[in-house]
Formats: sequence, C-alpha cells, structure tokens
Amino acid sequence: MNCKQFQSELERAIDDRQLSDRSAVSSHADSCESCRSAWQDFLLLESALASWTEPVEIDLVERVIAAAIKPVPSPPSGGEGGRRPDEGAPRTSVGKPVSVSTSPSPALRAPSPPRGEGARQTWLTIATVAVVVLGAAFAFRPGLNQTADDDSPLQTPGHIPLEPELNEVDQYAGVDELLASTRSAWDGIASKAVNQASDLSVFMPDLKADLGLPESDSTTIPDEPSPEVSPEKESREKESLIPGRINRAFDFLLDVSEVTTT
Amino acid sequence: MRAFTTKYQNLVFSLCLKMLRHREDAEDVAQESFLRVFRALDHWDPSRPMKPWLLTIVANRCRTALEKRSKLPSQNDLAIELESERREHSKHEQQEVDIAEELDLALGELREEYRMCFVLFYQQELSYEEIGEILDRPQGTVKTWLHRARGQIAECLRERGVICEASS
Repeated sequence: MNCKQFQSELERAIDDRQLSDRSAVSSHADSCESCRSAWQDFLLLESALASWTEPVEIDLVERVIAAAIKPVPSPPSGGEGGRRPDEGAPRTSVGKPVSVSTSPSPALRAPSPPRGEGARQTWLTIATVAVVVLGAAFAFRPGLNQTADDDSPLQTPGHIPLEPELNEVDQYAGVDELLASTRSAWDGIASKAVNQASDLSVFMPDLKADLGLPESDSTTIPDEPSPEVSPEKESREKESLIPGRINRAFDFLLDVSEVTTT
Repeated sequence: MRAFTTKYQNLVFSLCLKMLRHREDAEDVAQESFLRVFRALDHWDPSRPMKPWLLTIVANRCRTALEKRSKLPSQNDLAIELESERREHSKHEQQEVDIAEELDLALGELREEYRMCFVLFYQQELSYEEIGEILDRPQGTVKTWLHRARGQIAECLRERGVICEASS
C-alpha cells in the first residue's frame, strides 16, 4: 500500500464509519513517517467516539406535555402584540385565557321582546304549566282508576285501601276522615281543572286532546265561520275571547292555591 | 404526543446536549424543539423520513440558543471561567479525565457549523446527504466541514496531550 492508497482508504473509513482493511493501513502507517500522524489521529478519534456516542437517557415526556398544554399568557395590553421572529409558529388557542366581559357588546345582545308581549307569554307559560301539572296529578290520582279490590300489578302488597272495610273503621277513624277530605279536595280541583283546561285549550289545542276533553265544547270556536262573519271579524272575536279566558284561568289558579293551602 | 416524545426524546436531547454542552440548556431547547415540532407537524411530508426533518428543527433551535447565549456576556464569561478551570484540572489530573469529555471540550471550540456537522454525522449517524438537507448545504460542503472538524479536534486533543495516551 502506498501513501495515496492509504489516504483513500482512510477517507473511505471515515465516510463508511468503519475500516475494512485495518492491518494493511496500520502496517503502512508503521513504515511511513508522513502517514503515521494521520493514522494516530484516526485512532484517537475512533477511540474517543466509541465512548462519546453512547446514548444519553433522558425523560422529557411529562415536561414536554405539561409545556404543550400550559396556557399561553396573553400579550400585554397596549403593546405591539407581535411575535419575535424566533418565536416560530403562531400560538395555539389551547388554554388561552379569554377575557370575559360582564356586559356584552350591543351587537351580541339578544333583542328583548316588547314588554306587553313578554308579560303575556310569561303568564301563558305559567298557566299552561299549572294546568299540565294539575292534569297529570288528576290522571294519576290514586283511587281514580284503581280500587281497593283491584288486583292490577300497580297495587303493592302493603297498599292501604282507600275505602277500608266497615269493621276496620274504628282502628283507622282518623285516617279515614283525612282520606275523605283529601279525596273531596282532589275532586274539586280536578273538576275545576277540567273546566278551565277547556278554556286554555284555545292556546294549546293539543292539550285538549291530551286531557281527553270532548270535542264539542261551548268555548270551542267553530271550524267554519258562518257565512255572514268575515275572517277579520272572526279573528277579532277570537282575540276578544282571550283576555276573558286568561282571567278565568287566573281565578282558577287562585282557587287552587286557596284549596291547597287550606 | 406522548408516544412521539418518548420515541425521539433521547435523540433530540443528545443533539442538544452535544451542541450546547449544558444539561439544563439542552433540556430547555429539547422541550422547545418538541413544542415547535408539534406546531409544525402539519408541514411534515409523510413520504419523507421523520428523523432529518425533526433534527432540522432541533438544529435551528440549538443555533438560536447559541446565538442568544453569545449575547449574554455574563454567562459567556462564566463559561470561559469554567472552561479555564477545567483545563487546569485536566493538566494536573490528565490520566483521570475521560477521553469522551476531552472530545466534548474540543468540540466546544469548533465553529458552530463544524460542530453541528460532526454531531450529526457521528452521534446521529446521518449521511452526508441528510446533513446537507438539515444544514441546507451541498454534500461537498458537509464533507469539507466534517474533515475540518476532525482535524481541529485531533489537533486540540494533541495539544492536550491526549493523543499520546490513546496511541500508546
């Protein structure tokens, strides 16, 4: 091996990170004074790199994830608000604090309904809910569809009969009186609820069907107007009926509240 | 995110540590590099290997960190002071100094691009072509830089007397 071959072999060893013909190169370096220095440098770096390239162990997972989900502080107010060139990509919106204003901007405010219309809707809602609740209470009232002798699955073994036998009256005299008064109160509430619900069914036609009210009602507005009544006049008549029915509904609610308090 | 960090954290941290030669700084830059990678993942071409693309970002982060460090005179002075103390220590207790540490010290005296080229070639075991892509330089330049880096490191080690220990 001559000096040129020695140099090319050394360069190839550097490029490939391994020396194929080590003995030939070493023997040439031993015999050639000018190539010996290069060979010693090669050996030195080779031995140093053997320990230098040992992998470094590190655990950055939690740290990186914590930094990734960390809220990015908002730029100071009044500043430029721009990023430095080395800050890289724009910040994500993950966890970015959002300034919350207690008074929304005028453009974001929902338009409020007119005062009169809003009050009307509110009272209508209250009346409707009250009727529905009372109707449901009436429909599921114990004893209405189920007697003491009924053997339907709804009757539990420990069920106390609403109308006990006469020979047990002495034992349950106080209870019997209480049940009787409660039943009469329920009957009164239910009858009034049915009557008033028919009025309110003007506003909620489906409610009438739900409560099982008869189709022919005195307050029902006929489907087909009489020939002499114009549609405008009919609508005016319908509107004129509404306040009266609302008042009747409120009276009914007051009665109910009095009955329940007593 | 967790799996990605677990897979590449040693790779990234090793490069940062070799380039910055400061563990805390390397951890900071490695973390910053991962955050940058997560933000830029949509720019990565899946048809190309991940490692060179990832190391390009890490190399840029290291470069930025070195530039910032060079603008801090107090920290630079401290590094020089520590370096001189270490040199004194190496003179008196040469036999006990690890040759890998000597290589690290010699590497710290290289130009930044030589050091990056050396680390990418020997530690990350990248090819000339991949290093050229990362550093945005032709392969010939990369080969020249690596040759010069080897020469300067060998010279540095020789000046420290390490060469006699290794070749004997």
